[in-house]
Amino acid sequence: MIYQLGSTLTDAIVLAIISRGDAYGYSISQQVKKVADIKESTLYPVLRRLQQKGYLETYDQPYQGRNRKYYVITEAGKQQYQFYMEEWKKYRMEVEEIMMGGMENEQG
Amino acid sequence: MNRDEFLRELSRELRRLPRDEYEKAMDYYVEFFNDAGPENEKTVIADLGTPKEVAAQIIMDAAVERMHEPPKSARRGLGTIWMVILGVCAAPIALPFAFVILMLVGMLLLSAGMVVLGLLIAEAGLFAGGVIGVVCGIILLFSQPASALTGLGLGLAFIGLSILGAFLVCKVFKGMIKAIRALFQRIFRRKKA
Repeated sequence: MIYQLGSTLTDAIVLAIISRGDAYGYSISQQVKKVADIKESTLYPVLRRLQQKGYLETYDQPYQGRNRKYYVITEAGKQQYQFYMEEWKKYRMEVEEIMMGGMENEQG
Repeated sequence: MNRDEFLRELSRELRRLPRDEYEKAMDYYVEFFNDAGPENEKTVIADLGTPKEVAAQIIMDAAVERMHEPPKSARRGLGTIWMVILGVCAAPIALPFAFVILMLVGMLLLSAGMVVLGLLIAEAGLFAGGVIGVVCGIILLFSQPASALTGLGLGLAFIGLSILGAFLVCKVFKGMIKAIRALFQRIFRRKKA
């Protein structure tokens, strides 16, 4: 993708992924990689920041004789995710209006 | 570079972080490699970049975060300044800029230290004068009561002033640390946005 992902949009995507089910670091990174060309090294700071803000919590679960840390979305995280979604819809419409204005707009 | 080399170097880069931050970050990356599996080791390392870059992001993030919390004490303020120095050294910015920032931090801390040192010397002088006045006052109390009482009074006043002054020195020191911190907050806020 040529469009760059700002830190807000990255936060939103990570929250969205975790809101669909508890996930661990590597699985989150694989899913983020599908939509965005962000470096793996930016994911840890994002997860850390989201935890610090109280949007995510973690728990450990044994997996093949070692610990795996799972990330869970909190109530505050869900609200933030909703907020990000509303903002995204507005933003997307505004961008499309400018980028595709006149093409789709028949009464214009 | 293989997994063990990567983790060892990352651990070295992160060693100055607070203990819990260090452990969380290391746990994360160890787990990351485990989950990726040995077959993906090369891809993961290629995707992550160098341990230095990975560490720089973690340190910068921690430093920026600390600066946004209200300063609780001068010691915490100093901790933040230290983190900023680490962040600057780790950041992939042009060396001249890092050098200027480092010099600036050094100079500001040095001048703050000098002011405090000066005040402390003045303090010590005031206190010593006070003690001498009191001692002389007691020794001469019976032979020359008038000058002795004057000396005693002045001595006590000096000691009192020096105690008040000590509070002032603490305040000045804390104020300066806070001001330096605020300055860096300004510099780094722009970078964060």
